[in-house]
Amino acid sequence: MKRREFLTQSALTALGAIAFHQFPVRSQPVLKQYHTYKSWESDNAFLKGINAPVFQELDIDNLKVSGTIPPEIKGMYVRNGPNPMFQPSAYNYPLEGDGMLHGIYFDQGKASYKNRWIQTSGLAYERFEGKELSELKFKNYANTNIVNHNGKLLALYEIGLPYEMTQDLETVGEYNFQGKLEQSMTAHPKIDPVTKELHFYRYSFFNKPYLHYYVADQQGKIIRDSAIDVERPVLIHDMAITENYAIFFDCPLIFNLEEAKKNNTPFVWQPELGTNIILVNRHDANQKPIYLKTEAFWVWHFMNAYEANNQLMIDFVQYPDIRLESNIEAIIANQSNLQRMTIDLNNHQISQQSFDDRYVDFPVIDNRRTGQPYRFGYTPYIDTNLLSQKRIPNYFPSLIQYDVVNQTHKVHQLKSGCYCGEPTFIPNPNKQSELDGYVVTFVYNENTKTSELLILDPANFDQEPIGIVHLPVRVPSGFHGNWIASAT
Amino acid sequence: MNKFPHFFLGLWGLILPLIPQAAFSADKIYFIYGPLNFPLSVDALEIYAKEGRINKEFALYASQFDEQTLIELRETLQKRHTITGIKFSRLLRTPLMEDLLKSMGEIFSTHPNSNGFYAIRGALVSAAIHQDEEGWTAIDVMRHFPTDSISIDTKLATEMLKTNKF
Repeated sequence: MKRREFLTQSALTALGAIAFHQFPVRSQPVLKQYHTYKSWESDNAFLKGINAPVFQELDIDNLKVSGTIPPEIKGMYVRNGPNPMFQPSAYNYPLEGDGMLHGIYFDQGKASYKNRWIQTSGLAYERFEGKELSELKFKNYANTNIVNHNGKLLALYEIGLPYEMTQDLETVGEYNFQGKLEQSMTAHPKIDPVTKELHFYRYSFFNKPYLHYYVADQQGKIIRDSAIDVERPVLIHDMAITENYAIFFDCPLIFNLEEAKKNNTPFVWQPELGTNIILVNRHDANQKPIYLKTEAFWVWHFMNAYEANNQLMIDFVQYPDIRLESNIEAIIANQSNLQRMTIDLNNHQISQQSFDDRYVDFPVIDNRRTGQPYRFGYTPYIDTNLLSQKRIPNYFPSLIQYDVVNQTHKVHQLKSGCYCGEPTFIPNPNKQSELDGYVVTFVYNENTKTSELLILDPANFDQEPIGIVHLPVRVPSGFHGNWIASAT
Repeated sequence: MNKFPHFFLGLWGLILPLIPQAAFSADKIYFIYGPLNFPLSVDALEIYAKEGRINKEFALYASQFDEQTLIELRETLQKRHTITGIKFSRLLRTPLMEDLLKSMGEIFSTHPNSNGFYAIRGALVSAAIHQDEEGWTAIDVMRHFPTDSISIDTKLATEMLKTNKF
């Protein structure tokens, strides 16, 4: 036998041994994790300025702090948002972009920062190829929100299953509630602070019934799956709960496959069809939902809802019209303000009033008040003049604190050149009042090209922040975040 | 002489026996209408698609449609797609396409009253992987269906065609 033949045969024998015997092999991870990824720049308004993606995954301890970080807050503020790894040839905001999480960890008055991409299976394919893949245009980006239920961190997109994450922002994988949830989950589930249940839904564009409402108990086990009839396949982005009802607004933004095939935003606004208010009984799955028809309007987000005196109070950000095209003109044309809809549960009469005529969105509250009477809500202010001047969306110059009981508001004006995103309320673990806590938000300072985390006092909202955490890097604009208190 | 290619051939020799061979390919379609079912061979459809000839077997069904529908059907059957198997497989694994496949699975299935989701995805990807230079067609997809027949829920299909879902 020649030397070469001998070598070939022994190599094959070795391979055979590896293939057919399961002795332990320490393999290398298939996709390597880097600290810095290949960067690119884009002229797209949704991918430049405050919206430009970042290409580093960082861990920074002992961040510089001005003022103080209240020592009683212990945990993580984490926010999700789109951050495409590879330059897209076309970009539909707000639907696309690989999700990236930015976390600020608080412990004993100190702060540290960490950011990570969510390693979705779609992103894994693209990382293998090293570029954007057109066939993955409608992949699960997991880029919209991150919530904590029963100690499980779920990164959410609404067309696809949740991605489970660790506290260290590493990706575990798709999560389907022990096989009980198929296909997708809303990015805006609601946790009832009394029962600790998770209320959520999924919608389908092709399969009737188009809407399914779910409840998972405190342990994360799905205990209800109710099909809800809606006439057409529509986009439903958020829901609200009260003590007895789950509330859905079925607005006429209708899915259209033809548009999707043409690579456009696959939704068409058909205001002539009106909006349906759907009230689902939380406690009796056999009771038919109540359907109430109104003039057409669009809602992305609810602030909160509650019941009092046999009435339903639903606070939400209302858009009289919606244009979903990804351009600055459409963004400026979408004029939204905070409204209260009151539904009389005896005769189903609907009345509506607006809190303010300022354009806002991304409303949040103290989540201990979800579905309950409450007093304060927070939103960034959308200054359309500023946006038309910048020609780039997502520059929000101030935060508004709405007092929905007294119908007043306070404004926290940011310093010039500073722009915020969605705020989040961090409750003081030792106290119950909506004023005993902190309001935080990421702020981008365009003078220094870095970001900060502001910590505001809800009791003195228009005053200077209690503390500012300075980051040496920029956190791009994003979508939704939450406070995740440490277990201890 | 370079023995390197032999090394790789040897590697394939190890892996290939582990890949299961397709045991079936559909040669019949059953149109299910309530309790009734009507068989049609894929060959009859293929003859119509390729030659435009309606044979005796297909005539029974063809007489149910007007001329325009038949022309459209032929175009659909003839249409060549060129997306590669790998790209198609990735596309059909996105949540949006899985949603669509599930609704197609209500119509096209391996057995009556079951969802053909996995069978359709498998057949589509397999047809795309085994395509020739000119691409692949709906007939190829039927040939790659993982059972020896395809059940079509005719009632549901008519309903969906009416509402223009595809």
